[in-house]
Amino acid sequence: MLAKIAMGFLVVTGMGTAYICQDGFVHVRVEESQKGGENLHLILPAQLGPLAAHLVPLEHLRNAERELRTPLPALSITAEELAKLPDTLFVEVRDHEDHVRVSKAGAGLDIDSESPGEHVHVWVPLRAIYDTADALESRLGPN
Amino acid sequence: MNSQFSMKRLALGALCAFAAALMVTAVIHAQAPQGERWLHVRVDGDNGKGEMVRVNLPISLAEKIVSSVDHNQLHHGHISLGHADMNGVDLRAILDAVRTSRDGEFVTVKNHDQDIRVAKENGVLIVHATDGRSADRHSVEVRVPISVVDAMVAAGGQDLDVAAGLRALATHGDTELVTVKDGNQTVRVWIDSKNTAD
Repeated sequence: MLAKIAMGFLVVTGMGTAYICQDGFVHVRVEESQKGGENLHLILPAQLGPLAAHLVPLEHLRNAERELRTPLPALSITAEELAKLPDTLFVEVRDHEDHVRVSKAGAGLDIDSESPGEHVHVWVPLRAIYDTADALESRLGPN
Repeated sequence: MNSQFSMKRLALGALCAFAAALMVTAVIHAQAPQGERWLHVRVDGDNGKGEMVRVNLPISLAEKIVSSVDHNQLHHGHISLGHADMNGVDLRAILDAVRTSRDGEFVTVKNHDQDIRVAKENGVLIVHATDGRSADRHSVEVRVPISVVDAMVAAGGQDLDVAAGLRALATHGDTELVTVKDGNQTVRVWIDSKNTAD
C-alpha cells in the first residue's frame, strides 16, 4: 500500500516537474563589479511565466488591459517568428559607457547589458514568451 | 548464407544512413528560411568613444509585427492619415503623383552651400540633400523603390499600407535605402539577404 502511495507521489511529482520544465529555463545573471557588489545567478523554470499569467487575478489584468493589449499580439508573433530564424544579433547599442545586445541564441532570446558597475545577462526561451503572451491574451479575451 | 545476411544488413544500414541524411537535410532547410530579406540599420559615431547602433531585422518579421499592432495611428499595418496634422500637406496625394509620374527631376536646388535634389530614376524615388561647407558637410540620401510607394497607397482611402510596403520592399534585391553623414555620425539603412550588418 505504502509502495503504491509512494509510486503515485513519484508519478505526480514527475509529471509536475515535467510540466514546470517543459518550456526550459530562464537564466538571469547579475554581476555588480564595484566593491562589495553582489553576484546573482538565477535559473527559473520558464513555465512559471504562463502559469503566473493563468493565476493572476482577472481584475489585476483588467487594470493593466490598456497597456497589455497592444504589445501582447506583437510579442507572441515575434516569439513565433524568431523561432524560425537562425541565431542572429538583432540589436546592438554601444555608447561610451553602456553596451546592450539583443540576440537570438538557440531557442531563446538573449539580452546582455554591460554598464560600468553592472553586467546583466538574461536568456528567455522563446516558447515561454509565446506561451505567456498567449495565456495573457486568452485571459483578456477578445477586444 | 552468411554473406547474403551481411549484404542485407549492409543494405539496411545504407538505407538507414540515407534516411537519416534526408531527415537532417530536411531539418536544416526547415530551420533556415529561404530568400529571407533583412533590414539593417547601422549608426556609427566617429567621436573616439565607439558609439554605435546595429539593428538587423527580417522584413517578414517587421511586416508581421506592424500588422499585429493596433495603436494610435497604426492599425494592423495601416497608418491612418485621416486626422494626422501634416501642416496642410496631402502626403497621400504627393505619393500618388510621384508613383504615376515619369522618370525625371522633380526638385533641384543649388546654392553655394546647399544642394537638394528630388528625382525619380529607374523606378526609384531619390531624395538627395547636402548642406554645409566641406569641413562640416551634412548629407542625406534616401532611395525608395516606387513599387514600395505603389504598395503603400494601393489600398486607397486615407491610409498608408505600411505592411504592404514592407512586403514590396522584401521583393527587391540588395538596396541602399538611407545614407546620412552628419559631422562625426553616419547612418545607413539598407536591405540584403544577410542576417549580419558587417
